[in-house]
Amino acid sequence: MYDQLVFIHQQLKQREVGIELQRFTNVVTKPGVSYYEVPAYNEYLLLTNASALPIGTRIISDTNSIEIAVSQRTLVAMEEFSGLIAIELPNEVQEYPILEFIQIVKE
Amino acid sequence: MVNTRYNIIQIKVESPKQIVHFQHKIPTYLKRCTGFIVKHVKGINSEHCMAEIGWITASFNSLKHEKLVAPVSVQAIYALEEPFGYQSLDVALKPGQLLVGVYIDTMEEKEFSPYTVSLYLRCVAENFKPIDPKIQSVFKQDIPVNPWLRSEFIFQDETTTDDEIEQSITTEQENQDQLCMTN
Repeated sequence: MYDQLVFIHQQLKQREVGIELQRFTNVVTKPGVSYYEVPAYNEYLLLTNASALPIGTRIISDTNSIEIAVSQRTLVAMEEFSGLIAIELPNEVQEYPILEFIQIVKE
Repeated sequence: MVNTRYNIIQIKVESPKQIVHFQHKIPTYLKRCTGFIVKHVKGINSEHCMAEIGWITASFNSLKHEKLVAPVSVQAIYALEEPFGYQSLDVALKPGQLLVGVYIDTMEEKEFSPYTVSLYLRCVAENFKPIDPKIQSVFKQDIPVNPWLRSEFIFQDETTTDDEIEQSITTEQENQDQLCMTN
């Protein structure tokens, strides 16, 4: 079975990155606000619930950027972001999602 | 001799606000990346300069080193071609690893037309190795010499240096017109 934490540890070991802290964190969206900024300098935020986000949501960071597409609905892979992370929700959203991340603080 | 080689990575943007992921394997013989430049090369013909049409980010050595975040601009069609000014970079390349990055288009939708951006990497084929610490330690070692000779040598050396300095000062004072001197 795909274990997210095992994968994170294996990948960061390959990249010679030591982990100082790992924990869960989330961004709660609310009606009327479609733009959010999350500072994640010198750390990684790994998005774990891309499949639960509205189609057209854009997450743009200093190291990675994605736009949630229909194809993402079936994916279980994580997306990694670092630096300043901007989250843009599409204009017409029926449900305001919670973005779940695993936060990794580097050594 | 240092062999400079250039790697070009082309990114095609076909729709507004598009996010383009790219990865590129840098040849194994290249040991160090010393500069980069990102340029719009094809597609947009604007009469005015556009300071930003997108952003590029890239990391070297298979995500080990995040080194590159830069905006991409477009020159006006009638503007003189500016010379290639590479931004300096200093990344030791590990063999057989990937350059991974993302390009994100930030153009206004009404101005958009498909275009191509190129990332030029300036790399060198040789690695500049620091002097081997073992060799350095040999240089630093005190050479066993006769203490009498050693002290005499130091004494002579210091005297000579002071004399030379004094001599040079007097010569400059005497020769203010900087004329050639003959001894």
